[in-house]
Amino acid sequence: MILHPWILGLAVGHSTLLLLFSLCVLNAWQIFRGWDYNSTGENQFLLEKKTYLISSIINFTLFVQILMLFLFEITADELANVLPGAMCAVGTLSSNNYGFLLLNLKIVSTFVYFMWLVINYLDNQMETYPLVKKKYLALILIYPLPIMEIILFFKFAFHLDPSVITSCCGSVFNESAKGIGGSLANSSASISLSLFFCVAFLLLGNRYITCRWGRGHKRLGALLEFPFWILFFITAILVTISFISTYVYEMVSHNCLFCFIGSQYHYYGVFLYFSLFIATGAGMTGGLLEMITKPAILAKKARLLQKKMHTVSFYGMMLFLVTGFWPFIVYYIKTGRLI
Amino acid sequence: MDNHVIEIINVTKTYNKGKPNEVTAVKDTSLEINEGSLVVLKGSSGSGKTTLLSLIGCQTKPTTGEVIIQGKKVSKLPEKFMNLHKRKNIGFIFQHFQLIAGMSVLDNIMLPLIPEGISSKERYRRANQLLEQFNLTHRREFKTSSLSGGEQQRAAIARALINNPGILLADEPSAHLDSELTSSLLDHISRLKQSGHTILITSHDPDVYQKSMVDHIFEMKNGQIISS
Repeated sequence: MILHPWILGLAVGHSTLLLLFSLCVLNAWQIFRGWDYNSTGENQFLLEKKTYLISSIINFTLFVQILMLFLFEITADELANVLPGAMCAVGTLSSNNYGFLLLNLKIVSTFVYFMWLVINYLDNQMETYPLVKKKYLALILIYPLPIMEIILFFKFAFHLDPSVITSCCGSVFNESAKGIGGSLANSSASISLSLFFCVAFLLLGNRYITCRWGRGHKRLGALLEFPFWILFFITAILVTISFISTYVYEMVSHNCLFCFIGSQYHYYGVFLYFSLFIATGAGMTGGLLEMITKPAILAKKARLLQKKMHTVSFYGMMLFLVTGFWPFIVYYIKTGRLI
Repeated sequence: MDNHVIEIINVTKTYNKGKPNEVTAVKDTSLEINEGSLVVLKGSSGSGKTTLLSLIGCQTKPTTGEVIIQGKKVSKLPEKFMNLHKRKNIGFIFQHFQLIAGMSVLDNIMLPLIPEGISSKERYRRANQLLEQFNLTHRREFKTSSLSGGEQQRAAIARALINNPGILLADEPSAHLDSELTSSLLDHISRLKQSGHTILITSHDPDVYQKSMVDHIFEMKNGQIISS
C-alpha cells in the first residue's frame, strides 16, 4: 500500500460514507417495516420525523459518493507519478486486478445513486410521502454497492506496489495489446461510429415517435429509453477510444481514455465525460420515471420531472457530440484529410 | 352545518419522551372551532394552552392524534408543506411579540412575505396599509426595540396579518399590557373578527375572556379541556 495523501483521503472518505450509508439503511429498514401513513400514532410520527432526517443524510452521502468517482480518477492520475511505468490514470488502474474493476463499479454506482437521488427528490415534492416504502427498499437493495466499493478500494490500495512496473496507457489501449483495452483500440472506428450513431438515432427516433404516438406507445417508448441510454453510454466510450481520442491526440496509436482529462489537453476530457454522464444519467432516470403511474398526482409530477430529464439528456447528448467531434472537425479543416 | 376551520382530534403532545424530564403538555384532547368565531383558551400557567396553540399554529407536531386546519391534516404534512400551509393560513401573535430587535418596524412587518416570493412593491403596499391601520406609520423606520409595549404589540399584530391569514392565534396577548392597552387590543381583535377572521386566544385575563364578542371559552387543566 502507498500512503499517498489521496489514498488516505479516499480511505477516510469511503469509510465515513459507508458509516453514514449504514446508519441510513438501518433506519430505512425501520421505516420500511413500520410505515403506515394513515396512522396517527406515536410510532408513525417518529418515522415521519426520521424520514426527513434520513433523506437529508442520504442526499449528502450519495452526492459525495458520486463525487468520489471523480476523486478516484484524480487519485489514479496523481499516483501515476509514483508508480514506475505509469504515464496517467491507466497505469495506476492497471497496476493490479482491482483498479478497473473498481472504476467500472463506481460508474455503475454513480448512475444508480443519481437515480435514487432523483426519486427521493420527487418523493420530497409530495405531501403524503407516496414513495417512502419503495425508495427505502431501493436504498436497502443498493447497499451492497458501497460495500463492494470499499472492499475493492482497499484491495486496490493494498495491492499498489511501487516496486512493480506497470503498463502505460500506450500499451493498454494499443491495437496489438491483449485484453479489453487492446480489443477496444483495435475495433474499427467506422464500426464503432456506425454503432454509436445507430444508437443515437434510435434514441432520437424513439423520442420523436413517442411524442407523436398515443399514450400506450408513449409508455413503451419512454421505458425503452432506459436500455437505450445504457447502450448510448457504452457506444460513446467505444467511439471515444477508437475515433475521438485519435483526433484529440492527433496520433493513430494513442487511444487513451484518461490522458485528455488533464491540463495538458486543457481538461478536454472533463467536458466530454461531464456531458456523457449528465446525458446518460438524466436519460436513464427519465426512462425509470415512466414506471411511476400511481397515484395520479405523483404520476403528474413524475411526468414533469421526466420532461426535464429528457431535455437535460438531449442537451447532454448534443454537448457530447459537439465536444467529441470538435477535434475531428478542427483537424479536418486544418489539414483537409483524415487520420 | 358547522364549518370547522380548526379540528383537533385526540391530540397528545409529550416533550422529552422517555427522558427523566418527560412532560405531557396536552393529553388526548379534541376541539373544534368554527369559521369566523372568536375562541378563548383559558387556564392557569402550565395547563397546556400554549402547547395546544402551537399545535394549531403548526409550530410543532403532536406525539399522537390529528390536527386539521382548514381541511388539511397538517400534523401529517412534511415540514416543508406544513410551513407553507402555516404561512398561507395562520397569523401568530407571540406572548413576547418576537419582533426582530435590530430591524425596523416596516421590515419586521414585511418579513413573512419574503418566502412567499411577493414583489417588493406589493410588500411595501401591504405593509404601509397595515402601518396605517394600526397607527404606526410615524414609527415605520424605527427599530422595534425603541417602541413602547403597545406599539410593539400593534407591530406584532400587523406582522401576523400581513399574509392575510384566515386564522389568527394569539398567545396571552394582554399579558404585558395595562388595562388601556388591553382595551385597545380588544378593539383591534373585535374589528378582525368582524372582517371574518377566526381568532383563537389563550388568556387567563378576565378582561379578555369575559368580553361579549367571545363566542366560546375552553378551559384547560393538566393538558386537558375540562369545560367549554
